[in-house]
Amino acid sequence: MQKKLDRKYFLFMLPAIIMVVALRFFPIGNAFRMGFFNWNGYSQDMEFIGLGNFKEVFGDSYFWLALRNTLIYAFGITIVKNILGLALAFFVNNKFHGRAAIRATIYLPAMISGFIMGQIMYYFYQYNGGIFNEILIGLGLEPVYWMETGLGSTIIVLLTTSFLHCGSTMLLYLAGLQNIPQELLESARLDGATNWKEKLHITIPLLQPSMITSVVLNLIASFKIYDIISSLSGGGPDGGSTSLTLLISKYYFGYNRAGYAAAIAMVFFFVIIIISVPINKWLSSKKVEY
Amino acid sequence: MKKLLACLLSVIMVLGLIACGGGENDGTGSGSEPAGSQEADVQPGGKPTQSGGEAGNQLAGVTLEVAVNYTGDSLTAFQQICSAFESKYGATIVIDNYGSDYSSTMINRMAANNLPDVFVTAGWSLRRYKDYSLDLSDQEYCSTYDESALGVIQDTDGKIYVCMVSNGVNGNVVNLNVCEAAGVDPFAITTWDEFLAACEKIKNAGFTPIASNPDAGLTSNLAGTFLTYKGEVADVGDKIKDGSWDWEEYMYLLKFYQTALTSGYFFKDARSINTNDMYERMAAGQAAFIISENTASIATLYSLNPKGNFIFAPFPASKAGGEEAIVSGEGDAFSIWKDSKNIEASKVFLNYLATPEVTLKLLDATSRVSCMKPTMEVDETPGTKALGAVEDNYKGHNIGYYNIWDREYLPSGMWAYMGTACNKLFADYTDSGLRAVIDFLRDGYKNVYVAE
Repeated sequence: MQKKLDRKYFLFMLPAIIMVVALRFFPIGNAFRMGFFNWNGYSQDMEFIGLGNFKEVFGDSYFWLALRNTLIYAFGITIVKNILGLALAFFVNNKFHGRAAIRATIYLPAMISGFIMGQIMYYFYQYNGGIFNEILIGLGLEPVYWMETGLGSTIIVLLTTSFLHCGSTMLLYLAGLQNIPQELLESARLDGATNWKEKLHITIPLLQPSMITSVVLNLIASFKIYDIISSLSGGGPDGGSTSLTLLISKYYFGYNRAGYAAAIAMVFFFVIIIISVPINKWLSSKKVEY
Repeated sequence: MKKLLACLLSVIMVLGLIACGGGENDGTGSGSEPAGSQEADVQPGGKPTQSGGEAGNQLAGVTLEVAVNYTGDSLTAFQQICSAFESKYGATIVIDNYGSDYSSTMINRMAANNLPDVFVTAGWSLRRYKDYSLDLSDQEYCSTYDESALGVIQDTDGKIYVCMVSNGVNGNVVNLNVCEAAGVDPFAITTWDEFLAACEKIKNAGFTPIASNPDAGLTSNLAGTFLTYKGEVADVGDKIKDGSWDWEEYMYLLKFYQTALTSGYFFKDARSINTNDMYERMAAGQAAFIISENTASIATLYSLNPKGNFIFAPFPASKAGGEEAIVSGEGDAFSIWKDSKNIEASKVFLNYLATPEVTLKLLDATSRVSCMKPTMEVDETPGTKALGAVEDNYKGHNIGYYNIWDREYLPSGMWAYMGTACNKLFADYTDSGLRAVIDFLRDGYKNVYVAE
């Protein structure tokens, strides 16, 4: 009887299974297949070259540079956004006049396209007439060429993305803060806990579910960073701030090397799995209940 | 019974999902042909309509999908042209405006063999889109093309796959006010050495000589003045085309940029300037030249500074006795998908675009240069004016007019390599940096030749 029921439920799941296969597994499988071909991305002819593209990936200095940058973006943005988001959540969780307006203002940049924000922020960082350098000159200091090197541009992109999008992380923590039972905090205060100790030993540990969600979401989003780099630094100078998603796009649509781009995408896919699965497992093992 | 019901529900849900996916044709015109041929309504060759333009609703029920890469004023002008066409013929035009994603979207659509009825070829009617385009050689406007256009769009077998109403023309842009303030006569410049000497004077006068940012145009569009045009320092055109070139002669061009970069002729932050910023600095009178720009940039500069004084100029020659050059390629150019179900209606649309009054509306916005003789006779749009002024300003100069260099000599996909090479050059212009650029270009050239 149990077996028959299972089969019936499987039939109900069929549409969803078909969708997952069609929209998830098929594109991934096709991308993997493309990696074995020499193909310009639009011709109806493809030439099978075996592992040639995959071998080339590991000798490509631009791939390693983009991988390094992608890891910097992924972990850097996740860390900075979480620190900022947590601090802001504590701040806007207090009661004061204009709290709703401040919350909205912090969240606002997250609702605007990354391309637009990148363009706007370009005029903050530019060497000649940029807002930051005008301030430095006004203070009697020398202007700084913020985006002179690849690493400099990478850090600029990292900080810009983190500052602009920390509003979404703030909201996650804010929801977590508002779910913490007040009686726990009150009893801590009765026991003489200072404000700092209360946050460190009670509030932050109880925010762990929010933290897990925030870390996982930010990590995945930051691995795919594209728009702000594209409009703020263009991935330059000389690919110094490019990410793997930008590099894949460049190989596929710019250099017309779709097969090779697919090979990079597959390597990238496995890099994400290798990194995100253990992190996810470790974070999931740290569940708190209250 | 329950089992049967479950099966039925599943089938209904799957069918529902498939139905939601929709088909390829979504307009009322799907699969329909226009009611008879409309070619008599718009006389090909860009001449006014023979039947007085009363086409009525001859294309009623037809929906044409047209893919373009226009933005800003150009998009507005194109939308107005399409609306006028709809009113005149009763057809519906769906504009796919892919903007800066045009190339990537069209690559995907080619791969899926599912193109729009009409699409902009963006410089690649032969090298990229030929296999997907309808042969338009029998259209009468093809007999009205100027020679400069035929050199760009005619295949080796004489076929033409595009209705090109304008050329995209590329050269240098000069800020005359800055040159005057620095005591430089830009009309006396004939070689790149003289150009560098002018840069030195401009720098000494307190200006930045060159506003350009790293872009494929810098490493590609003027390459012919060193490598392939008459009387230049190298003559390797045939080698480049047959895929045997080792890129060693390209060092001449890199050395030119090395001199300009080490001498401080570019902005200190040149490697990270974006294009808008470049125009703003040029318009504000901070710089004297932009290397490799199209005629549309003149209009952009005047829109930023109406009191400025900007002209279009040819690329200098690599040595005395060489040819200065202006390069041109496909401007506003449209092809028809060879498997379109609306081929006849698409032909009517292209004939409509080729009429002088319609073309001129588009050119007013795109600032490109007309290339069909009937339109050229009456064209006074900004792009044509800017190019026409070159003849007046540079009288007595030996100027050659060529196809855009990479489209003539390099395989599809090389443009992006040229852009990356320019970024590499600006990031490291030491001797070893130049060597790395040559190696990078040689590898890219081999890769795209194989892929092509």
